[in-house]
Amino acid sequence: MSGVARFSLPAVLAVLVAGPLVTACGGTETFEVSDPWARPTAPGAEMGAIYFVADNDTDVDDSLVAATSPWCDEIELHTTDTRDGVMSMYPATDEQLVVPAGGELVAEPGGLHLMCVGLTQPIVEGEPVEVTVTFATAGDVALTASAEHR
Amino acid sequence: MSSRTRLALGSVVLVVVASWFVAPRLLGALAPHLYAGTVLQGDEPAAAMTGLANGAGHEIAVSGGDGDLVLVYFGYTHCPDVCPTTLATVAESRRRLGDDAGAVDLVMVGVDPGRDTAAELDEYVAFFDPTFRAVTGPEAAVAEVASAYGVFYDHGEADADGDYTVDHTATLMGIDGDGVLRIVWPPDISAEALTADLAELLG
Repeated sequence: MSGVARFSLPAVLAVLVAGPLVTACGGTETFEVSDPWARPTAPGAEMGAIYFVADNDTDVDDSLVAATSPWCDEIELHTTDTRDGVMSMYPATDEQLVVPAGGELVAEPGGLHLMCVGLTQPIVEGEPVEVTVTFATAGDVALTASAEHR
Repeated sequence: MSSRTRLALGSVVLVVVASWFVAPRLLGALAPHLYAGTVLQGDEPAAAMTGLANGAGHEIAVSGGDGDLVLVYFGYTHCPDVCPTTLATVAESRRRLGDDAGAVDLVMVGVDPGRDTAAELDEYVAFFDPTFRAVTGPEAAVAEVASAYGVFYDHGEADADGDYTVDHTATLMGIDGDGVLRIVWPPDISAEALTADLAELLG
């Protein structure tokens, strides 16, 4: 592989056009985190959840290791599991945080989510939330999550 | 164009437009609605929310049989993922129902009385939809009502900061206009499917 990053014109245009898309540059051009969003929180709520999709088009498995945001005292990597209608929430296992080579890791309602513990301010509809997600290989990826009801 | 041609054209247009509107209704009337939720048989009235109250200290009747559908959901405010998702889905369904939304109520039963006061729950649910209501009460009363609805909940162990999660049955239940527990939806029900079921239940 050449040491010089090569960009095709459509790829450059796609990056320019896709505002919320963030490309991680931790040594590869093909690891991408897209569609970051957070559900607006009720007044006084202490918890929130942030979602995204990580696409790994490299040949190496990557893994989500941490996340931080000025909106949260702490972010826990949590997953929701529903069995027979009973919903349980627990810290995600290492296996559940893998972004497989050629695959994706989806954080979505009812599954994996960044659990924002100790909201420092409410998540307000239309006001984007800054969050940094850290992957073992791709490193830190700064995201601007849209705050919206979905 | 002769008047006869115009008349013929007009008739064709009229027939096409009319069938456009009539056909889906006719098909809808012929094909039974397939509920996304699980429809329950039986005619026992749904259990009363005995010993639970809203922020103003009032009990809420869920089986008054006043013709409205009452959706019941057991949850808590420290729930970041599933509870807000389900409440937002019900709010969206009410928006989609338009004028019929007035016949659909939601009552959330707080299963975390140690942290959530009735007043906090009122504010929490109203954030999703100003018509939503909430009740909670002493632990024993909450447990009794939950049990009457077949709802399981269990407080997890607190971490170093005293935070804990609550495992709970996150299904959405529907009490019909006769006050009978009629339908149960899974927590991940879509707004589209829920709206269709609600519209059918409202007749």
